[in-house]
Amino acid sequence: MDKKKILTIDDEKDFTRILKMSLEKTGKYEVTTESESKNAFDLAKKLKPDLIFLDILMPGLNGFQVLDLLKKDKETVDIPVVMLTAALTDEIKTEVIKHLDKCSYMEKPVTISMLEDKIVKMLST
Amino acid sequence: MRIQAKLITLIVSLAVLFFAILSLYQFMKKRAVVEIFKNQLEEKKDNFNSVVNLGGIPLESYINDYTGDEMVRFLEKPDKEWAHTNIYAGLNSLYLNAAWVYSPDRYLVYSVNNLNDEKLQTVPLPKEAFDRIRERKKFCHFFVDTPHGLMEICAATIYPSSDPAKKEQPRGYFVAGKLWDSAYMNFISRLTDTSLEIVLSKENLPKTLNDPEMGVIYFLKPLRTWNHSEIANIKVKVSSPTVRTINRAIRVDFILFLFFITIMLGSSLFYVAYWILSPLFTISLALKESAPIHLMSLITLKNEFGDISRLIDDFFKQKEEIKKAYDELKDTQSQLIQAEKMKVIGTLASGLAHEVRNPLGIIMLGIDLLEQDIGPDKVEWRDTLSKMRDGAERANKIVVGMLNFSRQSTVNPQAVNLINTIEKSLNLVANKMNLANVKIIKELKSANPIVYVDENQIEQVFTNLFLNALDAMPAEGGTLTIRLLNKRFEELQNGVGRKVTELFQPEDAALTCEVEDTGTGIPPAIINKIFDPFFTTKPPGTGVGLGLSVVRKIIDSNKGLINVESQLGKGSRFIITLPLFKEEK
Repeated sequence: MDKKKILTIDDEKDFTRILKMSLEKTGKYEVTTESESKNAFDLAKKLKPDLIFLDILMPGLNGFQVLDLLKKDKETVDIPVVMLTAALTDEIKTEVIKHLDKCSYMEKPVTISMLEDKIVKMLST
Repeated sequence: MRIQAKLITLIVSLAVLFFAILSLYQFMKKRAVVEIFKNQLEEKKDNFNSVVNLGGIPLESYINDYTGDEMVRFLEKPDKEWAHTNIYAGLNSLYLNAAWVYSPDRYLVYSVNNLNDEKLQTVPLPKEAFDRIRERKKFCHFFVDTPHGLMEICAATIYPSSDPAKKEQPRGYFVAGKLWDSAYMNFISRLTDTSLEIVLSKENLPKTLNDPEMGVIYFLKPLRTWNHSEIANIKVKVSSPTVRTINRAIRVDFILFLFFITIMLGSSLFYVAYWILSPLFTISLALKESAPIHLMSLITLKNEFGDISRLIDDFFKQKEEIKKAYDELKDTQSQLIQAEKMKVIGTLASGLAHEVRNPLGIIMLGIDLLEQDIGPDKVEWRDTLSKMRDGAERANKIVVGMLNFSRQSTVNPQAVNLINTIEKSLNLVANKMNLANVKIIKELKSANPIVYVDENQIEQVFTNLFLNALDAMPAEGGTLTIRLLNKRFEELQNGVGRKVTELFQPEDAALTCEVEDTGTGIPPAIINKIFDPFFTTKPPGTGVGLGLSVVRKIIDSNKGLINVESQLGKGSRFIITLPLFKEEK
């Protein structure tokens, strides 16, 4: 069985590193991490991952801007995206609700089982 | 000193002054009357004396008749016949009582009286008295005491007409007497318009007999013996109608003046009481009780009290307006403070969430990772990791609470059946309630339970309130009552920081939900703080103190009111008022 390719874009390098270790340890996933949001779109195009974890609050481009880029390109438009955020404030919640047709979302902190559940759910649809 | 006392003092002083003037006037009048009285007294005395003298004239003329040549002849050759036809007849015709003729050496020559009294054979005088008679060239008048009463005596020496200068020895003495009997006294009394009484001793008489008040005049007329000593007095009582009339006039004056003064002072007392003290009392009462309603009767008056009352009324109106403005300002200020607080907490919460939950994400993922690597035999390590996860979760819960709190301003209101919302919240806590032995009483039969609110938020409100009630219950359990009531505008109760009038119109109806527990109650000292963010009575680690502040914020955002009533040891009641759904919304 092929390992599912997962791309994680988050400026928290420690978080992405542990997330990568945790997911890869299951043996089911191959995780690529990227901390620079501006590289996210190109990387996604190049890797063509099965799922993208995308942080919302990042320096430079924020998660929604990256999402817009991904959803505008026909090569990346079908890749499921899970938005990750630590602070689901009113403004962010409004934005998330606006983009719910294009993505799912999770609130940090997350556990491995929560991540796996989400991945399974997203990939099965 | 109060105005009342001052005015009464003034009136009393006036009364005293008037009375003093009146008394002075009376005194002066009376003095004048006494003066008149004295004059009258002298006049009456003179009058009386004249009358008495007049009464003595027959006696004198009788004496005069028989002290001339005829008597000289009679003494030389006493002729009884002649004496009887002359002396005795004269005695009776002049209403006299006795007559005596004495020789120069003072032997009785002839004696006659019409009293048939032997004792009056001789004149009741000592020999020395004749010397006195002789000394007087003319008549000698005096009184003697006789068994028949006082007798006026008139005596003279007898001289021939050839010796008109009475230089030689007298040829004899002629003495005549007239009794002052009651008939004579009555005669004088009638003549002088007096009443008379003979007083033998002056000792028993009061010092002053006169009574100027009644116009009664008394005086004493002394009656003297031959040697000028007093033998008796006649008490003369004269009535003076003039004095009596004047006195009566003065009394009438006095009564009239007194009446006039009483009427005048009485009416001024009434005036002062009715026109001055009564309005003053009313004004003072209105000011004391801060109740301008008392001034209604005065405001229409066109006098100074009317002016004052209108000013006071204006003052109260202004005070009311200022108070209203002040209250509004205070409300606005507290709302601004509240809003600012919420904004600060919101900013803080989102910043904190980002800064805390990212590291928490690392920690929790890391814990998961480590747990997978540690073998099942490493029990202590696994225990440690489990405790780390609990700690991280607790930290997360606090941030989530704050985040929730900052998030409740976006409201998606819709028509919601509040009974369903309450049931949903109750389902969430039902298990916990059961375990804590809390009985739930639902009084949810509302006529109209459809409110216009954000259902998720209101559900959170009820969940929070139910969990708080559960925490407040004593260990042995208690009762939770949830009560729905449809209320009219005028039955609504102001909420914490919000007034009914800010949110509801008089035509609005509302739904009130009461959540009542039988818990420990809220101490009065902190009841005003329970809706503040981060205020908690729970021990550290069990709550952040955001529950009720979230409740309040949600109710505020949903245009509702929340209030609390509590009794220590008996329980608390949270009262939530929500707007009813209206079709046009």
